[in-house]
Amino acid sequence: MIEVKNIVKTFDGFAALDGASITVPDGGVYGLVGPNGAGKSTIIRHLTGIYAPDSGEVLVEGEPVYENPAKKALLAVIPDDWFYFPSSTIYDMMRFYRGFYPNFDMKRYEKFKEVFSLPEKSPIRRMSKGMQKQAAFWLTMCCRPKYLILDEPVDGLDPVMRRQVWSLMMSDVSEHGTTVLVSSHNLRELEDVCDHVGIMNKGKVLLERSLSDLQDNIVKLQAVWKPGEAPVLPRELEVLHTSHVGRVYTYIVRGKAHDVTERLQVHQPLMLEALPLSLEEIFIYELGGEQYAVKEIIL
Amino acid sequence: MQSKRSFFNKTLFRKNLTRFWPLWGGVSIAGALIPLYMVLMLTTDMSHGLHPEPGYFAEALYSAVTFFAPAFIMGYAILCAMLVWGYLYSPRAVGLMHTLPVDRTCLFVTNTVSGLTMIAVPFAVVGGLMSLVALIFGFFHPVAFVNTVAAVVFMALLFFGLATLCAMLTGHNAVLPVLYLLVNFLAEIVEFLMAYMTSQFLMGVASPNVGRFLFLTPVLQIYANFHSGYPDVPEAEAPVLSGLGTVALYGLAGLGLLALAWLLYRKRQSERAGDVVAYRPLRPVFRYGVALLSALTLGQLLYELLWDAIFHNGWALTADLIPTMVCMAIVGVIGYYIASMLLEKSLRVFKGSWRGVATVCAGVVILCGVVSMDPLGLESKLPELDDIEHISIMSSMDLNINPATEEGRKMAEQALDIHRAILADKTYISRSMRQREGFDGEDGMRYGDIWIRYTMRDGPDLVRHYQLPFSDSRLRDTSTYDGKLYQLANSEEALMQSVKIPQGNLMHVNVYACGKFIEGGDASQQLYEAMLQDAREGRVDGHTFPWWEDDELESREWYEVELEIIYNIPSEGGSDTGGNHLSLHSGMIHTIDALVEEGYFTLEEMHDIKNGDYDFLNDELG
Repeated sequence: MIEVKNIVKTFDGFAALDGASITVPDGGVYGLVGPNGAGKSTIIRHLTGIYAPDSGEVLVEGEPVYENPAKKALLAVIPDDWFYFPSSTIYDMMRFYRGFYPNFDMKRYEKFKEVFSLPEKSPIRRMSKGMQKQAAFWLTMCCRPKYLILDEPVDGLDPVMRRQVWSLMMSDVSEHGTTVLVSSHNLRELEDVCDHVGIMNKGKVLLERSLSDLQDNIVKLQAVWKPGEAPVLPRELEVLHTSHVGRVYTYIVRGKAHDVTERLQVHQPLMLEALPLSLEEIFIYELGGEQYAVKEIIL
Repeated sequence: MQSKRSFFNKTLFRKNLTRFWPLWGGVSIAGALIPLYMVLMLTTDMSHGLHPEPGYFAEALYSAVTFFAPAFIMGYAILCAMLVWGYLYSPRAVGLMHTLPVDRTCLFVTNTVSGLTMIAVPFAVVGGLMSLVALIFGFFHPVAFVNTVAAVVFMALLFFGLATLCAMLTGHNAVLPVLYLLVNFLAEIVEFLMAYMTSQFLMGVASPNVGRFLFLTPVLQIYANFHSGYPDVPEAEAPVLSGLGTVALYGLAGLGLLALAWLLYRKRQSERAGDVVAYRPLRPVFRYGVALLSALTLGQLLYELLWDAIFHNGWALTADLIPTMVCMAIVGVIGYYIASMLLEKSLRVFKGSWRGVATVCAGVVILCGVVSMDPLGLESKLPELDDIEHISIMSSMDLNINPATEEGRKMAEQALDIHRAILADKTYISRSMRQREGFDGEDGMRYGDIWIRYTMRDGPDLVRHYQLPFSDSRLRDTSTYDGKLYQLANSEEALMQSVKIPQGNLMHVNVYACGKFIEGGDASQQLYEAMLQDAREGRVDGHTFPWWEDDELESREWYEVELEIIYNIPSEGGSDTGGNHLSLHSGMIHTIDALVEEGYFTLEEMHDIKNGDYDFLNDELG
């Protein structure tokens, strides 16, 4: 399990992380989402032992990860700006990784030659951004990490390769119990793969829940009222957003769909329907409470 | 398999060497030309029947390690450090390296070993090939080989240690070589600048004691102390090395620097990649250090260009305090802002900077104030006569005074008296120099430089340099420095010192005419007496002070004849020899007469020599 407890990190007076905490359970896919500058990459750099926190703890299996080679050997990371040595080939980098990661799997390396179809002995710097990303996946997944940490992992990959890469990771999760922590702006993609989500903004983790909890705890209702009879909703309902087109009203309400529907039925709408929210919508409305400007979200 | 407590990583070591092979490989190939040159030289010599001396190999190694190695390793070490520590300056690269499952101690040790290996390989190639050549030709010298290896190892440790420490202090690859160069020479630079500033404010204080902190400039200290030469024993077959102990001490210091760098590396924040200064507590040091160096260099230059040159024509005795402060403060503040911009990576550094500016200004005011007040009494410092081993006065004449002799003691007292008189006349000198309107003689005054160097029995030399005004009226007044200098320069002791042997007995006087040697022989004593007579009458060097009254100087005609007075000096082990050298000119009438009377030349021949006709010499000498 990965635990981040109340970490604070400031850069020249700017608090990039301000008491952030997350808990990544073993054997799942944890999605870390948030707008630009929320602190996702900073928290990942703490998790991989690059940064030391000003305060707080970053634990992997109960031990601090910073300057802890034994725990770092369990992790592998694909940052958004993966580094390779200038003039190195994939083969060179494989030899380099193999020298550091005790579980480096050569059989898998050979097998992935067919999956990725990349020139193994060409300089990586000559490859396109998408090909470099594939090379990063190829090498990192051969490290057979217990914890795979990905920062904006599929940027630059074409849709087919995205699907391929996710499929490989999901098979690692199901077959080897690999834990994946992934940060992304692509909420639709995370929705398909994550079982836990942490939402970050301004250096804090606003909420952290399993995806099912999150989706169960917020509901979108569409109601049609008689002309001129749109009721005032009960105060105890936490309405996050209201809009209407003609007589069709849309409500985003915190709470379980069943409970909220029952309360609104009292007002005898002509039609009332509970709709599931996408992760993208949850993200927007949860952050809306933090005065986050919805228009700035990259969607 | 990576162990938990590994201190060395073979993969990283191999990667470092394979990534950077063009550097060490190129240097090794270039270095391999040296043994090739040796082979060619030796085979050529031996084909001509010349067999190399037994000390040939030791000589080659020692000259390489004392002359070539210090500067080369100093430069090469920073290149190696820039390569192995380069990842610290790129956020992407540092991200990869610090994510790897090794701790920083392992990274540090591996990179350090990589860097030292990159330094060692070219030396191993060159040394190995040279040794092979030496073994083949039969003059291998194991002691020289071991000494050379040790010296190279010590120097590599020192310079790579220093380069590594610098690499830890900064977060920017372009800053590293600049910082390394600065740190290597910082002590000398700061000492020189402070000495220069002192000389600007204090009359006569000329770059006092520069070199006192030479040990903080290792490359210069090594060059000053690390030598090779043949021992002063008969039948010495090979040269010996001196100063290896000094180099060894620097090697140990290098290990200390590496240890300090390791401690810093463990605390280094990865996010400092790209920053000029990698540690927050050092940022003020950088900011105010740049301000201080700017003030001391360009600040003083600004004063000289804007104030001294315009208002004093560069002739003021000492610098004006307030304008100097203003110029240094202006440039210091500019330096402060430039440093701030580099640190913040932004031009917006002015807001809230008044404290820093005030600190710089206050620092400049305190520095200038303290130096100008001369708390150490440098300006008025006069040595005790008994502490002086030698005095040399250089002006229009050169006087060398040895207080150990009776005559020398009298002259030394006169020299100290002149020095006292100059100090007492500071106000007069200062006023005269500020009122100066032209070059020497243009405004009715004469201006000249005088250097006084006291070589002390213990401690460093005391050197004073004065630019002084002279006037005819004061020359006759023996209470002024003008008059005292006149008295000393024209005393019999001063006039005769270039001829008279200081101690011991005359051995002979040699004569070199147009490069041909004529041994003195029996007539030496007569020749010497004639030269003494010329000296006594002021005919040898002339009355060089006051220089503007010595018309004879202008009318001299020089002969192509050199006179060498050889004398013995009694010493503990027997005796040494010394010599005075003179060039013959038309003013030395007694010497010319003696040369003719003693049969060296005829009058006609002297005439011919003066006219540049030396044919008769060739006829006589063969």
